[in-house]
Amino acid sequence: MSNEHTMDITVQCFASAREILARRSFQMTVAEGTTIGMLEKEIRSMSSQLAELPFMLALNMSYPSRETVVREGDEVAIIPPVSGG
Amino acid sequence: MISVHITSEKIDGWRGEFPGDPSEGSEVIFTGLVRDKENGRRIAALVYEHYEGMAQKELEKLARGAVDRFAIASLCCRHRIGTIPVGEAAIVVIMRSSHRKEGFAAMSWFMDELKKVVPIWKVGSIEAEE
Repeated sequence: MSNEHTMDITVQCFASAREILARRSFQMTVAEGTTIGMLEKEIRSMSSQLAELPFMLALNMSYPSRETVVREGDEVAIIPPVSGG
Repeated sequence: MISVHITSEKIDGWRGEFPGDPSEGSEVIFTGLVRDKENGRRIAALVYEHYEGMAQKELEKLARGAVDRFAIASLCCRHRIGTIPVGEAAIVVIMRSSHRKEGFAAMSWFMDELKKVVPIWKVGSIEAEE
C-alpha cells in the first residue's frame, strides 16, 4: 500500500538469499528517500543469516551506488557472491 | 564484433560464427568445464541459475570492457545454465586480436571479472552414483 510517505518495491532473491528467505521475491514498503545503503541495512535485519551474507544489491538490473535513492515500483535484487564460469 | 548469449543448451564444441579478418593473428579460446568434485564430494552434475536479463546485460558490459581495454577485435561468449553434467562446458569464450598477448590478458581479465559481477550461480549439484 502506498501513500505520499512510502512506496512499494519488489525484491528478487537468488541462490543462498532465496534459501535463507524461503521465497523467490517479495514486496517491500519503504520510506520515500530510502537509499540502497539504507535498504541493505533493512534487508540484513530480516534474518541473522542474511546479516552475515556478503551480498550486493542490484537496482533495476544494474549495480547502483549506496547513495542511489529507490523509487516506487523499482526492482531490487539480492545478489549473493556469484559463481558463474 | 561482440556476441554474448546465455543458454540452457549444450555448448561443447561451439565455435562461434565470426566473419574472418586477415588482420587478426590470434584466437584465444577458453572453455570452463564442470569438474567431478564439488566441496570434496564426487558429483555427476552442477546446477546453475542466473538472474535473467541482468546476467545478459552484465556479460555484454564485460565483453565491451574487454574489447575496449585490450584491443580485442571480436569476442564471443556462451554461458550455459541449468543442469550441466561433469565434463561438459559451462562457458566458452572466444577472443580474436592482432596478437596473442592481448588475447591472453583479455581472457584472464574477462573471466576474473565475470566471477565477481555476473549474476550466475552454482546453486546445487547432483551426486555421483557410487
